[in-house]
Amino acid sequence: MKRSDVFRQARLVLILALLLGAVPGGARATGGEPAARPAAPQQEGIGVQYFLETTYADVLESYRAAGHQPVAGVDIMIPGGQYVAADAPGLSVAEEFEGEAGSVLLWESEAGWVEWEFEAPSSGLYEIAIEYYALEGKRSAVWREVHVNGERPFVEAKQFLFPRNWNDQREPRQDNRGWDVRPPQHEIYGWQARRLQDANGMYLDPIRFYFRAGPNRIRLIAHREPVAIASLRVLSPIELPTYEERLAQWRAQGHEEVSDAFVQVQAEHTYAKSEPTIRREVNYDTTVEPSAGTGFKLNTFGGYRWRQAGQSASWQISVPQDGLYNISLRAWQAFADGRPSLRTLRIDGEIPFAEMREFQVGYDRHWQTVTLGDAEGTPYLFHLTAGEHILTLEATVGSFGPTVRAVEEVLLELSEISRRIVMITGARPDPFVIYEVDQKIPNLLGWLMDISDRLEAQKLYLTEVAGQRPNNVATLEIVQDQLHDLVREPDTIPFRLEDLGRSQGQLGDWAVRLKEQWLELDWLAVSAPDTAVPNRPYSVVSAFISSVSQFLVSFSQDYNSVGSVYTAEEDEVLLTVWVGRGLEWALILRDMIDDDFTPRTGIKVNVRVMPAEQMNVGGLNAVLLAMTAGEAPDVAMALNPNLPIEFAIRNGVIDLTQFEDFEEVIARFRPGALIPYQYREGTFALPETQDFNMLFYRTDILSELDLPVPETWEEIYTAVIELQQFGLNFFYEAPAPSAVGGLTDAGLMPLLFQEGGEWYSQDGMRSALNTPEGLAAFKTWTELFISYRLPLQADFFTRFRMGQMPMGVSNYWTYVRFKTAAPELRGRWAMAPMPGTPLDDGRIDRTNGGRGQAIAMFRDTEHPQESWEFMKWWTDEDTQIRYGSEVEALLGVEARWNTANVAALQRLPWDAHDIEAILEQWYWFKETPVVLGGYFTPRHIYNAWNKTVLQGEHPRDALEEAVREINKEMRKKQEEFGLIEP
Amino acid sequence: MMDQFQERWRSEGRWQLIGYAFMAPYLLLFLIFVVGPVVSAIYLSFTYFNILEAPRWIGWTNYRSLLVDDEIFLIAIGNTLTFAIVSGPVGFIASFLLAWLLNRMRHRSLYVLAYYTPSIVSAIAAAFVWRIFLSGDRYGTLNNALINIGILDEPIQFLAEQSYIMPAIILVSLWMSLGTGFLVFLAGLQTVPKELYEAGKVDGVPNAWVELVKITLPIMRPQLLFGTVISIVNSFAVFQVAVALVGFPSPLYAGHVIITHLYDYAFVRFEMGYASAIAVLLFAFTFMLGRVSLRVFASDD
Repeated sequence: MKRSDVFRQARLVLILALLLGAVPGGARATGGEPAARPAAPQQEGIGVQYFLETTYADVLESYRAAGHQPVAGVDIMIPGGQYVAADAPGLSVAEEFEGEAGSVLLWESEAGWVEWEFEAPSSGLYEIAIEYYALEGKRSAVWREVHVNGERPFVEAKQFLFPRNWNDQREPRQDNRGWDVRPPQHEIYGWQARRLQDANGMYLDPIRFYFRAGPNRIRLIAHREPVAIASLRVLSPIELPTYEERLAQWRAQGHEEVSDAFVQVQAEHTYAKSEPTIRREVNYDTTVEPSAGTGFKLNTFGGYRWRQAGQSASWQISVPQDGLYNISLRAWQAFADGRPSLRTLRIDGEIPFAEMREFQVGYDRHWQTVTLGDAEGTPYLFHLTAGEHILTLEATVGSFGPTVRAVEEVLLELSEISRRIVMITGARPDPFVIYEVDQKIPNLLGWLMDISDRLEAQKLYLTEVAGQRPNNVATLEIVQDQLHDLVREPDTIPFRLEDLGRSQGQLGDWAVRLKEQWLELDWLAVSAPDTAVPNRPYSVVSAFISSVSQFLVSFSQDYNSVGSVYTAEEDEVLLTVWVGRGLEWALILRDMIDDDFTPRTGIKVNVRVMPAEQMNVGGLNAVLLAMTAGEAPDVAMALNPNLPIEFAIRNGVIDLTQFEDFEEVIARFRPGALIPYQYREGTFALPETQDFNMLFYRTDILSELDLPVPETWEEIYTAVIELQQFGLNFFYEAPAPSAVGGLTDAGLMPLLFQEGGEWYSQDGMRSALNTPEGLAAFKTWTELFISYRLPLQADFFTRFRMGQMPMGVSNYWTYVRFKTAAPELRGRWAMAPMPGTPLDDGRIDRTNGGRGQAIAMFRDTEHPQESWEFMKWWTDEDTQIRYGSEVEALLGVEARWNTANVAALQRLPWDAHDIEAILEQWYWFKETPVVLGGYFTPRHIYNAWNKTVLQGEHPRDALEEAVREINKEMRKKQEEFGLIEP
Repeated sequence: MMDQFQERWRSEGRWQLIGYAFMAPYLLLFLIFVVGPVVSAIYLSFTYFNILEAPRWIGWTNYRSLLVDDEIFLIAIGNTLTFAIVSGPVGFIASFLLAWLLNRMRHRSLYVLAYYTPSIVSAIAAAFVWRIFLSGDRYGTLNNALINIGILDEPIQFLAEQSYIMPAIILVSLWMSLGTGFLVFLAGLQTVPKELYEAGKVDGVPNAWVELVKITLPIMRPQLLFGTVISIVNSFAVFQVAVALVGFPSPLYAGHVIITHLYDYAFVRFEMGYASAIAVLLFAFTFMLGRVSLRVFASDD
């Protein structure tokens, strides 16, 4: 009865709202650039604005409204050394630096700020150019934030990037199978000048700043990488001529089309590139030159890695004679979305005319020859003088920028809507209550409809940009349908937050993908308009022949081996190393070995990739089987942390303490990190990576609820109760038996250690969980799930995104996912060390473990000393830094390397705040020892937990039963290995 | 005399030889990959063998501790038998009835495809889907539905609570294994000559049920035998589904079956000798049951 009333009311409100045009945002632009920002619904109640930061698009709009005009004919140069204020470490001024005379600012740190002042001749819009020299650092682009007159003018100003210059060090060498080996990357240091432009490539033109006539201040704030600055220039905004204007100029200068010329450059021969990540690739298409055949030949450039805005590459091309030319590319762009990819073209550093700020390469499953031209297909003419020219292609989001922005706004609003609904209904809405959320959140339905309308506008806009309806708009339609459903039945909204969450996820991924501008190139060419450009069509027959020959070759190739495969010569040492990581990871290792380890030590290494699950205990362990067959490697990496000791007790691995410099080497790690690899007197492996559990929290929700970030367990309990009053919850992973090797006891560890307890007795012969400390920790642990009613199973990542669980304890993998897969959360979450127990001296004991992966040496090795050299080299600070940065450079943040080498961790590209939290946590690092029969501990601790939490058994009884079982198994194993008499 | 012998040799011996030649490839593989491992497992079951070091003869010790001292093994046998007793007959009957029903329907192949698909899905993939369905999260499909209807207030931990684990495993493996038996039965049903049904009609078979019992079942004996053996072997070999669904080792050993027990000793404890003893017992057990079903279904005419 009530339900239908409410529904009718809601419909009425909606119709009224539509009639009155009260739907926020007003009219939508259809086609052309969509309205810069549909104003966020301004309702009474809690402010919506806090999550919507002012964007550059907003600011441009306000400039237009205020009538601010670009200023003409201004070029003011401020020497870098002549700053007026600064607070930054490592700051100095040089008279001359690397060929740049004058007053050069050397900013050799990644912290602090520097401020310059200049006199603006008139009020208006300006651009800023900076002449910089990226000093040797962590290999990433220099990142500075810009403030104008004491404030950040828009959110984009937080990130301006100044790329470095890279190139292949040499042509690829061939390994002894005749396959190409990726060439190492080297940085080309030098001065570069750059107008400030959006780091995400979302705007076509350089960024404009408003300066009032008179003195103005520009401040740079360091975020990443050291830099030298020769000068700042305040300039009039660039006004690029259109193609027609530019062509008329050229014609007026008497330039004419050349005839019969064709100059081609293979895309793999780059002149320079902005990142080492974008690189030569191999492509097996039969139309690619040179053909890759059946081996591994680096014959193209770019591809999937060349997709982020700002990534650029250039090629040198020598032009035979002065005149007007066409420019063509042989390109492949088969990214799944069915929309075009965008690039900016620069010739000798300059964009020749406005149309080249962005050109499209359409979606095609096959390779295509693209001649740069207008929408009708008429090729553009470019004037080139005789001699060498540099063509630069830079990925840009350009015309997709407004859509990305609009969708990101929608995401923020959806996340705000779900947060508000959760505030009303709690995370567990009662099915028998009608919440009338559409009444309690004013104009909720209008808001939802408005979001749907904005998505509609973006659909039309994208279709216009692409010239046809791209496939990827289907996602927008799905989300629209969901929104319409919600509006149709508002009473079901509280129960369909999951739908809303799914839409958010889809839209988030969609926006991330729209920013990606994937393009693979085979060659570039400059040609006379009357010369035909080759366009070999895709041929089914040759593609078939090529596939068949590759298939045949696959029988004789050893794909597990990475790079060169050596056979041992007379007096040479050859190590075999197994890696339980992906091929890309192994390839980087391979390169580093060839580049660094072998030249330095003369030891050759064969690298083989093994599936990670075959390197675990509790599976069909490949190392184990190889050992019985006498085929075991000398060294294996990425080992499960339980494995070394299981092998040690059976004499399968070598005790590392026998090496002279052992003590020296282990100083690289946290002392607690070696505990799982120690058995009796020996140490049987070295840690490679180290995990961590940290406290993750939503800064926006916590600040709204006025909750402090908990530091201790006591504060956690308070926070849990507070959160639950709002229907929200806290996440602490409940144990669950995973498939083999899972650490089901991880939740107990911090409580146990902080209580002063231990897993095992001093001699490792008995379980020590039946001590008062053990029992207390176990009780606290189970209480979390019984009294505090933390969920027994939950998907933290999704609920954190949705705001239902604004706080929780989780691990490294969660961190990576928040960083990479939740773009709408950017800046709205943070990470703190684990909650702890206050100590008498005022500190907080945060002791916890976090096992990573290990590297160990096996019994059958004939070269223990050389293997030890390899292990030392691998865990060394420099090696770890290089590996960490190369892996991240090649595979992205999702491959962030959590090295166990403490010194190396601090120099890897982690954010300063994050690393601080991690180091604080690592200060308290302590691990669980691995003992004989120790695998029974997680098993029976879980069983005890299960009995206590699910079956209501008394914790003491459950724990004692578990300890009995654990001790029984440990005794059995101790008898088996002769530690005690049966 | 001599001639006669040669004559016989030529006619029979040569045929035998040719017969063996034809069998040889299979026989060879059978020896290497079936008989060999069985024999070596029997040998190893009398040893202490930790893979990395050479096996050491210890006589009956493994069997003694397995049968006398190992409480978990008894749990595993109990669970396996529960599984076999419920899922064997239920699966057998269900797939037979399904086949019988479908055999009378039009667009048969469409249904066949639908029912057979789960069997070709890997256990891991199937378990992944079912884990979402049975998830203990309040947003798990089943829990969410029950909470929304108002039957539950708190989600049930289907995959962690002792009493739900075995039913969950049985449910999922039934869903997965129905297809194979059903396909065999369907094929069997189609071998029944139409003339027999016609003859039955003439002789006055009153209804479909009688037809099934008097005509169809007796003709289908070989398929029934095959179906039984398959379902026995399947029930004793249940492992992947259990592990993928409730983890390993399962909570309070509630989903611990003979193979998981074997796996526990082989790959967690590295006690291959003991694991071999379990394998040998399992082998003997299945073999015996196979003989029994042969007795029941073998045609005595």
